[in-house]
Amino acid sequence: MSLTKTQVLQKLGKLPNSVQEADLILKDVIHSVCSGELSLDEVVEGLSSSLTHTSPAERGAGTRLLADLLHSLPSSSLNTAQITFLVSFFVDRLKDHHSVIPNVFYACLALVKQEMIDGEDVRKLIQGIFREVQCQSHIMSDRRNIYTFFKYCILNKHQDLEALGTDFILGLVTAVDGERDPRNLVLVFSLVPVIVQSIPTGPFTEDLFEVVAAYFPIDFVPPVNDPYGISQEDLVLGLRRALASTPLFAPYCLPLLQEKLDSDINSAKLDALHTLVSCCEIYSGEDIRPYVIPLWHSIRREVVDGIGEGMEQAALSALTAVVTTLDKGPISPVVLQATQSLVQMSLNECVPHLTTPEQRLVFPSARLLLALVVAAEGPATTVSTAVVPLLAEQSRTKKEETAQRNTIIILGKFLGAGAAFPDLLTGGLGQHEEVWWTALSLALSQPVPQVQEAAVVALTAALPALSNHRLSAAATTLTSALLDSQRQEKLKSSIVNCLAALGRLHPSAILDHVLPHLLVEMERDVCDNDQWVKEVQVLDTLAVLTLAHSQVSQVLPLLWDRTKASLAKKPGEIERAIHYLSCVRKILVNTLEEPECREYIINEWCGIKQTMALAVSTIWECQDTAKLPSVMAELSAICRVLLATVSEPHGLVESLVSVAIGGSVVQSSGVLSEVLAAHPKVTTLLFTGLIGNEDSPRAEYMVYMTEGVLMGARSLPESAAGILGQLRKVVWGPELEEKSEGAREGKQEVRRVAAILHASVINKLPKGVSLTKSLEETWSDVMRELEAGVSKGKRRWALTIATWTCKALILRGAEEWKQWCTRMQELLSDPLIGMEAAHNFGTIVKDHNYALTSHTHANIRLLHKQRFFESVVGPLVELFSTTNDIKTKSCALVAIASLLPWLPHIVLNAHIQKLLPVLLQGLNTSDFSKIGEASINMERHDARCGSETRLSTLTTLASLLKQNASPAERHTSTLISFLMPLTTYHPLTVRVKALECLAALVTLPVSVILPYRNEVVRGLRSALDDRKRVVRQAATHTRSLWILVGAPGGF
Amino acid sequence: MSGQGGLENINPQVYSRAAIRPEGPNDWNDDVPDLFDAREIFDLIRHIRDPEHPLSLEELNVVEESACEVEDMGEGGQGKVVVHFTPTIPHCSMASLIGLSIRLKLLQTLPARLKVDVRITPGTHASELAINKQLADKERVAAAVENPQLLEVTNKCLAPHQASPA
Repeated sequence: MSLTKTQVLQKLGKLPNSVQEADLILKDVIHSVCSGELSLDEVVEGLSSSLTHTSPAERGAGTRLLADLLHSLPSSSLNTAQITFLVSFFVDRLKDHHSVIPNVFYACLALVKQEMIDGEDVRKLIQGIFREVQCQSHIMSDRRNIYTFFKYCILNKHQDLEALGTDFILGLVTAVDGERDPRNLVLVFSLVPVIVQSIPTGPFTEDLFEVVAAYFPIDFVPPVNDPYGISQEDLVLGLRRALASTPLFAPYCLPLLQEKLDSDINSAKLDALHTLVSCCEIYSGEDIRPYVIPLWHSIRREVVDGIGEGMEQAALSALTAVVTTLDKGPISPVVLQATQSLVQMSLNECVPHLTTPEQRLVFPSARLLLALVVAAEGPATTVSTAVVPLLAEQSRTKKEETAQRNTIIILGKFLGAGAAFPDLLTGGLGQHEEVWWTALSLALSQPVPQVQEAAVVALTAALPALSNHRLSAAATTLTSALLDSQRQEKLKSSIVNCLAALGRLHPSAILDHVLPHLLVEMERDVCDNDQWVKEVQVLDTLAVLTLAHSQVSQVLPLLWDRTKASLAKKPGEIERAIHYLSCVRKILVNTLEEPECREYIINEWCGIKQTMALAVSTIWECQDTAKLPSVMAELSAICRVLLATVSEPHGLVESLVSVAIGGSVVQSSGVLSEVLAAHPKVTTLLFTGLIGNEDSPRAEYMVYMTEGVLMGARSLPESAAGILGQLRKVVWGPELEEKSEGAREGKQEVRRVAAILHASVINKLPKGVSLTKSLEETWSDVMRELEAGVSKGKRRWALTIATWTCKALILRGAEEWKQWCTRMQELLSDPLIGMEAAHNFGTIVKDHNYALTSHTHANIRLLHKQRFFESVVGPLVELFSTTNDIKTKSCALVAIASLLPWLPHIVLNAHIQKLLPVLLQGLNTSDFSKIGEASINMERHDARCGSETRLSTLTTLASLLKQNASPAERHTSTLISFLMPLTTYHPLTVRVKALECLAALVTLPVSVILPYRNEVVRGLRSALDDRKRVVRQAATHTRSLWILVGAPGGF
Repeated sequence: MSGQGGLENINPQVYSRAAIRPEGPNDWNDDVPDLFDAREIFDLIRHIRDPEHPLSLEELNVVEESACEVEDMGEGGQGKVVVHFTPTIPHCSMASLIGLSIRLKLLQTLPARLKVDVRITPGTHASELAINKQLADKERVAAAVENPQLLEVTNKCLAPHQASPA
């Protein structure tokens, strides 16, 4: 119920009251004022008793209420007359008792936010505050109100402030001077750039600068648990923006920066360098000119001393910024003079070091000069013309390996940096092209591998500086170096990189000078080992270099023919065919994005048809059954890549499915019907393949082609569900009878592919009746095969399907996954396939190479791993701690341990406190010796699991601790006592991992680990004498770290 | 270009770093014991930092693989490690500090059965004999380790760090 006007006024008259009541009154007053019942004048009158009270506390309360009221009113509600009235009232109130004034500030802030306030009133308020208020004698929040008041004045009324002239600056500087609170400082710093942009600072520029520059450099450290959320960075960046806000500050700012640069404090130097870079962005050449030489000396010293990479980078970018500034805008003769003398001075000081390329200062000197080159064209020309011929000459005269290497590397950097200026390319660099090109090609032919490699790196950097005919020459030279079998692997990979960069600059050089050589090399039919290595090299290079349409149309048909030929030949050639196919796939991946290339590959070359046809003939004719799965896997990969470009794959998928289920095409669709017409066998293959047929045992390899189509398709039609039943039949087909290990392995691989494809289809099917129905069918099928009475082989395959189905459902976020997951958890207690189920938990979270990833257009919900882990980790830990069966316990541990490596650390960190005790028990040796005893009757596979689990637990623990050791803080004692015995008398890998864990613990706070230092240092002594060097290396590393814990100069 | 006044040799010659030791076929075979060899000793000391330059002892060629000698009798047997180091200039005042750092590093990282001997390469330093004697004197080395100021300097040289790029 709202009060009447009289009631409100009566209440006002009774002020002051307790705060709470003042709040209640305020609500009523706001309500009445907004509804128009009560005018502002009436409110002031009503408050008269408290506003004129003799006690300052009561006057304060009245003023506060009025101020709060003003803040609650909309910014357009007051007219100018009302504001003028209030302004004169509050300016008068500023003379009041010190306890009343803070409320007046608050009211002033409200007034200045009003839209209708006129300039005169603003000036009155400002002058009043400057006259009456000692800003720094008020508390933090009140000072903040004053600064905020200034901020609104500047933002909204800056044209009125101009009338105040420089008095405003002076007043502001006086008010701000001596501010200590970081929260207010952030505000003050943000005021400066606005002020200098809107108000002329006149004679008080220096004062305004000094009042903020006094805080440079910031050395504020936020208090523990940081209640106000102000970081050092906020202050540093705020101050930097303030200092770099206007060129007017230059005469004060640059000497300050210079002074800090010459100090001994590294953080101050670094901050000064960064600030210099920001300042340079707005300064002109004229501003910075007088300080160039002293700045150069300071910057050069930082680079030469080599305190650290961060400092050197900052110094170099500051140098670049200074030179860019000098080169900016209209250049006066004085500035030009300054630039020239800077460049000359740096040349005088740095070039002598370039002539001693084996000594330490060569790289710092080169980097200083490079900073000049990247800055502007003028300095770049002077430096390049002086340095490039010198370096080119030197690379010929210096015979020593390091000297030659360094010279060439530096030469390459200068050429690369200089190439950014087109005029320089035609001018200075162009004139000397002959000289430096000779130097580079000479270095390339040097016998020393390090020099060769430096030459390739230098050439890669210098490519933009080369003219087209030199690029062609470079392509030829590099190709012959690449095909030279004497050269090292590392060199070859840098050559391939260089050629790739060259191809981007000048594609026809690749087409004319590289590809012909490579193709000739490939055509050579010599079957010795050397040739084979070379051919692999050629294929790898082709895969990287074939990018443009002209190149693809030359290379692709040739590779394809070679593949066909190798597949048709004797079995030994099949390895080669696999390499060809993988090269084809890489080329397709690289080029299909390009419209011209896609047009060629899909329509002209008919990629999908070619792939299908090759697959069919391979299945029919291939001699080597053991290698067949690898060939088919490559073909399937190519098919996936090609199909991904088809925008409307439903037709193809539907006809494939109908052939596979019914043995005939319902509706004829483009590509498939063409393939069927050309190869009538396909229908039989597809139909019989998926249901298994004794007449054509190889037909089941057709699964690979089905995989290629179904996984490559961007989406699947509902009818694709029909294939699921067939796929399950493939997975648990008849018992494998193949005698040879290879053939058996091949058949198993086919079944695995079918299981994964099954999951992939479930993942991609559109939501609807057919999905629900096929999920129900899968569930009943798989559960029947998982029953305890079924043979172990069949149960294993059922488990594989269950695992993958579960994964597919988790990925698409379908609710049914819980049902599947619960069943998998139950299986952990199964005596026969428990351990396998445990390992399969890893399969669920581990990313497959291609299946169920975005590459095969899987239906993936964000954070699916997290969701799965969060719901499964609790039950697994509980199973581990509650079960009495030692075998189940170890299965639970394996399940947990196999999940961990594949999850993001940020997820694990939330659970680490829960998981660490489990992992620690996993490390506990006595538990696992029990498993060892219990496993006497088990199969070999399970017996090995004890030590395997420990190793995987240790590996996980090590990677967790390396990321972030802090969760281990509470368990340090247990961890160390478990880890120390593992460093000796255990398998090699366990010893190494245990040592790695111990090394990671060093990052914990010294106070936590210092008590254990002597124990660890003493205990590791025996590991120093380990029989294996790898262990000794880990041990010396760990022991050295622990010795430094708490030691002087150590951690 | 001159650097800070304190440095004796501002622009020393820089040598390339050795590649990472190539993995042998039996490195991960627990049944084949690996004896200590010169490269392993070199790997222990090559990353020690020079007290005054941002460079490692390897980059300054103060230590070399060929100047590390090992006699290892295998597990349980006695052995001997001799390391010769070469100061960058004959009057280098840091020679004894470098020697001490090498000596400490080897004491911390080699098993007690190996006897360690650190010496200056003959003819490369003015006060070679005095420094060799100092480094061979167990009690003086032990006393040096007790000295916190000295330990701070040597620990800074020994602390693992990111190798600076070439």
